[in-house]
Amino acid sequence: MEKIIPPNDLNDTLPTWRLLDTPPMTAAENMALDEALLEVKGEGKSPNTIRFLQFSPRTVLVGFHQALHEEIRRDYCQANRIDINRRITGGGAIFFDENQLGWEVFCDKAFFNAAIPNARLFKTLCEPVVAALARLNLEAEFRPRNDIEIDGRKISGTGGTESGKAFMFQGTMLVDFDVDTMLRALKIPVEKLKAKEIDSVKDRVTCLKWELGEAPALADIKQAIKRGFAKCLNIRLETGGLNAEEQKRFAKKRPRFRSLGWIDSVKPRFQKRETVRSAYKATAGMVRFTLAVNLPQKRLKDVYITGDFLSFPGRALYDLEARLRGAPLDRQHLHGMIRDYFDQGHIKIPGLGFEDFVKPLDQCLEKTEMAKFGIPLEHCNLISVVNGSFEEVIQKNPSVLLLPYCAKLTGCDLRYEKGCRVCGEDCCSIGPAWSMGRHMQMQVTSIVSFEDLWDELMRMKASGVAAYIGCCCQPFFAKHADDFKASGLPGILLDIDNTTCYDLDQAKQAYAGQFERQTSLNLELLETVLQIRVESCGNEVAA
Amino acid sequence: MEIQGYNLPEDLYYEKNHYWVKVEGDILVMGMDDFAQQLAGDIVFVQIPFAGKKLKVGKKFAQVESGKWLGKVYAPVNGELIEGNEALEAEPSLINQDCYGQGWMFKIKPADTDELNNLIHAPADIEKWVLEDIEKYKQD
Ligand code: SF4
Ligand code: SF4
Repeated sequence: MEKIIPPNDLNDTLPTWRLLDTPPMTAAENMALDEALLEVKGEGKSPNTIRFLQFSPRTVLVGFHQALHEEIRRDYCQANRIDINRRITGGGAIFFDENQLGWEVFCDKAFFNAAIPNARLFKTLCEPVVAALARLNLEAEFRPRNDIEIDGRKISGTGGTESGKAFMFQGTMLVDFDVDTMLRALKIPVEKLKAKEIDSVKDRVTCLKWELGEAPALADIKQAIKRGFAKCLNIRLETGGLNAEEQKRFAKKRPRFRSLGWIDSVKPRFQKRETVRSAYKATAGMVRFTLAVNLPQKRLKDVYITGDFLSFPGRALYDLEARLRGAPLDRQHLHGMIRDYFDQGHIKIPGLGFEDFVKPLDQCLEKTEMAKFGIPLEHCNLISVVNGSFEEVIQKNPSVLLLPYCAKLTGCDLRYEKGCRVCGEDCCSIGPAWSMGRHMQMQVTSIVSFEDLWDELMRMKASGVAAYIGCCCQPFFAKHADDFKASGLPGILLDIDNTTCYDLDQAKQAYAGQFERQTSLNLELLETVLQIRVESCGNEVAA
Repeated sequence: MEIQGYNLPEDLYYEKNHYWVKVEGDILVMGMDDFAQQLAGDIVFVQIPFAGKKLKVGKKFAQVESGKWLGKVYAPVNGELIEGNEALEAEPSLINQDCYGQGWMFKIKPADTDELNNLIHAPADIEKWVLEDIEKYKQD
C-alpha cells in the first residue's frame, strides 16, 4: 500500500538548502565569492545553496577561456566605469548592469546522481527559472543546451562548472536591458551600431520589463525564483549567511580576482573572434549573414541572420542561429544543417528558400578563405568574388581592372566618359588606381552605368579575358550578384569607401550613370589584392 | 568493445569520470573516453597546465569546456604531468573526432604503476560500469 504523508509533515522531510541573498558587489568580489563557495561546497563543508547576486558598478564578464581583447571594448568600459572581469564558468561575454539579477546553484553532484554534466541536468536546473517566470505570468521555455527564452527571445543565459563533489550552475535574469550600452561594451558583430542593428539584437533577447511593460519589484522576482527552485527541486530554502570557512576563502581570494593576472590571463592566440559578413539580394528580400568565427579553431562562434524578409514562425530564425552556433566552419556541414532546417519545415519564408541562405553564407566562408592569403579578415569583408573562389580567380591572372565613374572627380570632364588622363594626385582616387593597374599591365577602364558594365563584361568575354578585378560598392554587388554571375566571367570585386548612392537613396540615378556625388576607392585594399595577383602570376612592369 | 553506441577499447584503463589511461612504456597517456565525449558535445577549449605539474590522485589539474560548461579533469593516479597535447589548443574538437588517437590529452609519469589497479580495466567491469552510466545519464 502507498504511504500517505500528511501535508503538514511534508515540509520537514524535504532536504533543506541555504538561500544566500548577497548584496550588490564588484565583479571581483562576486567572482571571488563564486570560487570560494564552489570550493568549499566541493569539499563537502557547506550546505547546498541558491545564491542571488548583483553587481555594482555594472560589469562585463568574459567566459573562463575567452580573450578580453577579442570580446570587449576596453576603452569604452574604462571611460564609462564598467568593471571588467572573468568568470570561473564557461560560455560567452556578457554585460551585467545594476538592473540584472543573477542566480546560482551550488550543490552536491550526488543530489542529481550525476558526476558528468549532461543535457538533462541543464534542463533540470533551468526548469525552476521557467517556473519562476510562469509565476510572473510569462510563458518561458528551456532551449537546449542551456538558455531560457520567451517566444524565441533569450531572457536568461546560463553556464556552469564543478569542483570536487559539487556542481555550480549560474544564470542571469534580464530585468531591464540597456542594449545600447551592451553593444558598445562588448564586441558584438554588428556593423556600425546603426539603429537597424540595434533592433536586430533587440529581436533576439528580451527582459522582464519589455515583456511585462514594467519591471516587477526585485523582491518579487527573487521570491518567484526561490519558489521555482523549491518546487522543482523539491527542497526547502532557508535564508542564511556565509560560514567561517567560506568567509576565510572569500577574503583570501579577493586580491587575485582583482589582479590583471586573472582578468587578463588569456591571450588571444587561439581564442580569436573575427567577423565576416555578406549580403545577398534575393527577389523576395535582402538576406544578410554576419558570422563571428574562430579561424584557428575553424569554428562558427556566432551567427546573425538578418534582412527585410518575414520568416514563420517568428522564432524560427533564432532557432536556426542557435543550431548553427558552435558548428565547425565547414561548408558542406553548414549547408547540410540549413538544408535540413528548411526541408523539415522548421522555417517558412515567402519567396525565399535554402539557396538564398547559402549564397550569402558561401560569400562569408569565401572571405575566411581569403584570409589564407594574409589579408586581414576586416579587409576580406570588403571583397566579394564571383564565378570561382578568390584563389581560383587570382590564378586566372585577372587582366582587366574596372573602376566606377562615381569615384571620379565630380567636376572632371571625363566623369561620364570611359577614360582618365591621370591628371594629378589628390583630385580623385581613380587616377592612382588607374596608374596602379597600368603598372601591373592591366587593361583599365571605367564603368559609367549598369548597361555599360554589362556591355563591358560581354566584350571582355568575347575577347577571351579570363578574369577581372573591379571596384564597386557592396550594395551594388549584393543587388547584382546574380548578374555578375550570369556574365560567366570570374571576378573579384572590392568595396569602395564613402557614402554610396544607396545610402543617399540615389541608386536609380547611379544605375543610369547620373549619380553626382564623389565616392572614393579603397586604394590600400586594391594595392593588397593587385600585389597578391603579382605574387601568384608575375606580370609587373619593371619601373 | 562497443556498448550501445559507445566505443570503449578493452586494452585501456578507465577513471570513473570517463577518462581513459593507456600504458606506454613507463608513462601513461590519458584522454576523454567516447562516452564523455558524446555526452559533452562540441569541446571548445582544453586548458593544458605546465609540464612538471604534480598530480594528486582525485584532484583536479586541468579544465575542459563544452556547451558553456567548464569541466574539470581529475588525476587518475599520483605522479607528474610530463606533456599536454598542444594540438588541442588550436583544435579542441580533435577530442570529438578521435578521442583515443589524435585527441589524446595528457602524458603522465606515474609515481607507482600499481595505482592502475584502482582504475576500471577488466572487460566485465568496463561493461558493467558503462551500462550503469548509460542508464544513469539516459536523456529522457
Ligand atoms: S584622375 Fe582621371 S578621373 Fe580623376 S579627375 Fe583626373 S582625369 Fe578625371
Ligand atoms: S552603385 Fe552607386 S556608389 Fe555604388 S559603385 Fe555604382 S555609382 Fe558608385
